[in-house]
Amino acid sequence: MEVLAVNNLAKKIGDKTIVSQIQMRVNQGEVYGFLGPNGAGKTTTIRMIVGLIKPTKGSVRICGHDIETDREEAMKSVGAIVENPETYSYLSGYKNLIHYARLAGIPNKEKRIKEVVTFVKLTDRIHDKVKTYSLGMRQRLGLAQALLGKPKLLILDEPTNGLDPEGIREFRGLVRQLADQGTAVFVSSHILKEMEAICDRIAIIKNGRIVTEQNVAKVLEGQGQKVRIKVDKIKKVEAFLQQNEISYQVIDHNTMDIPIAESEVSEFVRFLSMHNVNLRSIETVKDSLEELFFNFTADEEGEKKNA
Amino acid sequence: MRDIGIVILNEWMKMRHRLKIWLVFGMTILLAIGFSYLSFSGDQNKATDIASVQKNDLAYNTKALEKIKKNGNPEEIKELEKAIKGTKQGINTTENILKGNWKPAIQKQLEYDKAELENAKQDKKTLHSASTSNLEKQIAFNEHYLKQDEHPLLTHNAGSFSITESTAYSATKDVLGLGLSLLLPLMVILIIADIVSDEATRGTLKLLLIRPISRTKILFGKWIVSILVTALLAVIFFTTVLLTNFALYGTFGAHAPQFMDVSYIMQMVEQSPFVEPQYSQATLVPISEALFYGFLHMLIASIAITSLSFLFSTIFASAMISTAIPMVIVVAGSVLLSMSLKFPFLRYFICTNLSFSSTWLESTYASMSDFYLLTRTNITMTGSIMILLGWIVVPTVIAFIHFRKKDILNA
Repeated sequence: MEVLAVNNLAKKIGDKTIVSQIQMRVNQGEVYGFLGPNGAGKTTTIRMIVGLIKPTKGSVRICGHDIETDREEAMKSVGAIVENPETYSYLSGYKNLIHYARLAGIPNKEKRIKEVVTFVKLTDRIHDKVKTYSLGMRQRLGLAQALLGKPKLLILDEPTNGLDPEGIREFRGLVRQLADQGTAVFVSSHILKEMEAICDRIAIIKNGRIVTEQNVAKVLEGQGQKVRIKVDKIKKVEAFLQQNEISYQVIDHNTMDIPIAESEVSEFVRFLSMHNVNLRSIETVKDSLEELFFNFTADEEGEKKNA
Repeated sequence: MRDIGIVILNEWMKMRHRLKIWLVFGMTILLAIGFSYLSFSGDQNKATDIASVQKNDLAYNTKALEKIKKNGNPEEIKELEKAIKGTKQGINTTENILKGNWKPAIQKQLEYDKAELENAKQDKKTLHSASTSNLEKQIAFNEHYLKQDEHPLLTHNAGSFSITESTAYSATKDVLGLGLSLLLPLMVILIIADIVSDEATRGTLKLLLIRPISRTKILFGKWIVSILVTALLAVIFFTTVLLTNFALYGTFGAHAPQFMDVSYIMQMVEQSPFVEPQYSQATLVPISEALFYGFLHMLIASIAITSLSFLFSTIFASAMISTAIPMVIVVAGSVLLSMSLKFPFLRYFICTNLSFSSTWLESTYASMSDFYLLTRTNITMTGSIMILLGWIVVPTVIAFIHFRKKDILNA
């Protein structure tokens, strides 16, 4: 089921076009990544999706409700963190959640708050004032307020800002869990690795336009697999590969990437030892989205230079 | 309706958990007590026993008369003789009031004053003069006492000013008059002027506005809370001043006469201007009633300041700027009002209408600047309230229209 539909969205402020022709669809249970460098227009787009900024052109529909004409119905299905999840620092975490739960019209507030607080693991400190919280705890409180209304669409803008590696790992787990329960999750980030790890699909935004939209699994699959080896006699290996018309890529004087499948690795290692080539290390390399991202951004740069 | 109730609950929760509102309430109470006490001690220094004032007057005038009797100006002699006669009559009245025999004394004084007024009106020189105005006032006051069937406060009229026995009510009127043009508006601004902009500064506004409640309702809830808190502050200020003055002066004097809506007309008497109070067209009410109207007026004036602050709060994303601007308006306004500017349109200015002293309640201050006379004094209470209502409606409407459409870019 389609939870979020963004159609030909554009925002102009004065003469400056911030974003244009933004087209996105996010389905139930899907984690959708919105990737782009800082200043590409991610936050502006998110603010238009949640109705903080009025679009110059285009429309946003959430669960079929238009954000401009049917805002209140649309927002009933949305939980969001927009940029830093600033909450009221002079109130306790609990009072903050009471505040947001009232606005969301949640029946049986106390019970629901207890649930989300347990989910984001903030139970111990929930009655402390937010000003005593660490950045990570504030992020988790931000997530808690977004989850209060059991949203069908969860929007997370740079959610891992300020989280330590452990926090990031935990966060990925939470997002996966929510998606598995059927929540459509829309995550924005400028960090590729992060998106690759949690997203099903990724849109890349550059200079206010979406330059590509990719299915993460397909990208990784399509690019096949490579093995990176470190050897002492690189010339010997090269000669052999050339003989057998196998493409390869030299990384430096003793490192190279070879496109072979995992199943062929043991045979290849045996072959090396037979020919007295000492293998120092071997690892499989998945060509990450980074390349994809780089390609697109590089293209754009190139275009600019040509123009 | 339920949505707005929720927003009100939330806004009050946020407000009461911040130190600021309690500091402002505390400061208001302390300043109210302080001002009342200062005014009381000033009063104690000024106040003299009316009987002795009258005796001194008599002695002084008698001496002066002796001096000029032989070869003085006959007109001056006549003047002095008249003054002495008036003072003697006054002393007689005071004695009778002190003896508890006030009704016949007041009746006698009334007859005397009325005859005097009649004479004064015949004479072109005294037709428009301070002493004639004072006579009119004294007649009105004494008729008021008779009508109320209440013991008069000892009032002494001489020259161009009058000393009235101070009561908790008159002192409350004076202290409020001082506090309303600056103190209370600044306190209101401190509480209200960041009600929206503080959320923009903190960055909480964006998470507030993505709820399934419309912006208009959220702003309306904030507006209601602003008004309620302002009303609470006004009640606190008024009550503290009144109670402090009750403690200092006692509760006596609620029935004392107070002129309301006194207008002034500039008269040229022998080439020099005289500003004549039009007592005959003014309303005379017990001072307790006047204070009740005064409270209503200060409530509306405070809400006007609230509305203006509220507007700036929705326009600016910085709590500091949205607080500074209305503060500058109020402070600069009060400076402007103390200058002798003759712009008739200044009567529509918000600061002109903040304090009821010297606007629609008859001024207690003897000397008034030209500005007061030309722009302020001829505003009636109703007129002033109408102007203030304009200052409530216009900024509020702009605030709502602006906020409904506004792009929340940075907050």
